[in-house]
Amino acid sequence: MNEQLILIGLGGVLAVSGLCIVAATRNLIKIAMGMQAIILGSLLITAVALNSLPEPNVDPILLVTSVCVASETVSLSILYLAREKHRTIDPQKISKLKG
Amino acid sequence: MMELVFAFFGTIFIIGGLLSKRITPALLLLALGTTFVALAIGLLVNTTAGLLVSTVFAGALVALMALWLIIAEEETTRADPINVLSLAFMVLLWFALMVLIAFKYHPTRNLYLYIRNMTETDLELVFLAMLVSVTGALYLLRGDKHE
Repeated sequence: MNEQLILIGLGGVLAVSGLCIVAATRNLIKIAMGMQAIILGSLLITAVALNSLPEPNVDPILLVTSVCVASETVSLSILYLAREKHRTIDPQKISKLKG
Repeated sequence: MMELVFAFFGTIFIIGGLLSKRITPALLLLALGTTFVALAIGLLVNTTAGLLVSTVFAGALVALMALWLIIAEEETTRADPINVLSLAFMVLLWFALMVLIAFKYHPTRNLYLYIRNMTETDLELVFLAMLVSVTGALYLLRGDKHE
């Protein structure tokens, strides 16, 4: 099988497993971990795509990584604030949208 | 070929970390898997990109670990020396293997050790060590059931 195809598949597996964890878990820390897995999978797919270019370019990887980690830092701050306000990190207990 | 190996083991470690019920081993497995995926990205695109992904995500994971220590839910810590040792040996073994491959791998020749070329027996022993480490990972993931 083509090596690039396998790498893209591995990136897809990472992204899907992260998505499943985000959907299934009751712990905000696990949700942050799942988001990291999604980001890593998409970065792997992006790297494969950039590798297939005639002249590989690093700039998109640098940009995407910086933006992803900045957004993750914001999410960690929100997580801490949620814990301070609601005294729990269970998103189902925190959620006010269920009525 | 090596980027495929790194990406494969990184994926396994990250999925193992996501499936682990206890947060501390999950974070450590995620850190290990992130390093492997960053190495794969570094081999695919550029060393700079791989280093950046590795360092930046390591920083994010350290922040996550610190946050976990701050907001840790009340839970009984399971101080099991076998558990801790299995985790330490697993992480050390994989990092040692990664360092060996990263510094000694060359596409045109075999893995060269300090005194001789790597033989089939060495590969079998490496496979055995990997099997032991994966068994340790299974023990880590199933640790919750004994509480």
